[in-house]
Amino acid sequence: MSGPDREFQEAAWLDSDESRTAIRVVVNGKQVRARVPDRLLLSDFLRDHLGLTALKVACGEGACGACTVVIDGEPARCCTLLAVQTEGAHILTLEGINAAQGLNRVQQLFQQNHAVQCGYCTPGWLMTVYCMMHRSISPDSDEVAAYLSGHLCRCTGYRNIWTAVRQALGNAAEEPASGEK
Amino acid sequence: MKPAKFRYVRAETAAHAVELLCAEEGRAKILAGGQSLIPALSARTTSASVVLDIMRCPGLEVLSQTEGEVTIGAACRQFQMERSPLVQHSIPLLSEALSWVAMPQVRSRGTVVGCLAQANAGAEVPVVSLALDAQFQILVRGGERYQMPAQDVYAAATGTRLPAESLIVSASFRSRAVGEGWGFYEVQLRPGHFALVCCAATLLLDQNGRIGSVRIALGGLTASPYRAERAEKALLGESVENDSMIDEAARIASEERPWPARTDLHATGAFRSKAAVAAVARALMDARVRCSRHPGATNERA
Repeated sequence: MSGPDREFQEAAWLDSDESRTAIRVVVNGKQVRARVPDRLLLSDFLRDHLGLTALKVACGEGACGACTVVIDGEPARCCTLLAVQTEGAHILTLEGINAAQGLNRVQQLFQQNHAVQCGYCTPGWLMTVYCMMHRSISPDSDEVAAYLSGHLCRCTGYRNIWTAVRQALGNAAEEPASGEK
Repeated sequence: MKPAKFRYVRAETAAHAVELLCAEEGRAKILAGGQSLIPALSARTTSASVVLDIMRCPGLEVLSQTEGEVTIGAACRQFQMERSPLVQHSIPLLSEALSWVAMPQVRSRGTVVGCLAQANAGAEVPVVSLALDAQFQILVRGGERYQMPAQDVYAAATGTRLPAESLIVSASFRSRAVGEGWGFYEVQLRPGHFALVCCAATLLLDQNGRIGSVRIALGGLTASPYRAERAEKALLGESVENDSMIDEAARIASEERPWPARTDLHATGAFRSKAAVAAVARALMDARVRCSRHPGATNERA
């Protein structure tokens, strides 16, 4: 991502007479100024205009969690937000928490526990885990299940993700070898 | 999925928002958290000439407490209210119900009042508003403000009776009385899904330890939520320990529905009717556990 006044790429489906609004946001620690079409979704702004493609768009209606980013410290869907709504906000995407080299700690835990298969949903999970760690959610809290219910994964079956997340939250205890959850 | 074209306007004040609503003659839509509106615009099941963002209007972000009630402004987000010590202490029924609303990743943006205005079938907050005798503060054309009780707002079989081109600026919920118990229970397909049915209940005992005041509200069973007043009457004066009365009240609450039981692709009306009985019984039993058996013998202040 380059400086604030960069001429960003326009999506092909936009018309020439789009109503636009100027916004100023901080994305991954950098000031971004843009005149965005009013109907542009935040997910399209981040992916198509700023090139931040870690977040994925799947359901487009807030159900699946693949587009989850962090806005002002809380995890949020960016497919159910307009870019203009985020005026003044601090937005964090996976690109903003990646390690300089290799994988960060949570990513390593996902890898070790085979909590990743096709990987399409993974960036969303990682942003939610980031927020859970910042709120110091206990690995034994009921809130773990509540947060994780905000993401769908069609490959791994959740159990490995559950284990990786609990370890990330600071409990090295393994899940029981058999039984529920 | 992309929304069709509209113009986005950041309303400067609540009055400005209503003015613009009137100027667009029903074609404008109010945007608060947007967790229902934006997906609907994207799917193009709804459209708007102007989308009016009210989140920066001064005053709408206020959460305040006066004697006997807590008032929540239209810009208060669900996660803030869920975690607010004031809400947890004075209207614990709401903070409990909010934990059933969608997922944390949606509650981070959605608003409490937006949930009241949207009034989706199976939404939790309108049900709580009925159980807590909520009053909606409404701003209409010409800057006129008035109050509307939740029971009037949800008196229609579908949708709301909110006046056209109006804005709910805040909603006031009755604070928990000393010794009052509350319960919320929901039957859902999976966490985060809309309620198939849900029930909010409060119980307060009289000096003889019998049920002196009770509220039962149901959502999801019918398209609009309703208060089960016949079931409430059946419980007045009864012993709170009487399980068979609770079961009987739950049956009455499901049967007294003012409109037909709702059938959709997730559940039939017959299933919902039965699930409603279970939800009411569970909410009442939770309320029973939380209410004080010895009124006057406690220092608790709500």
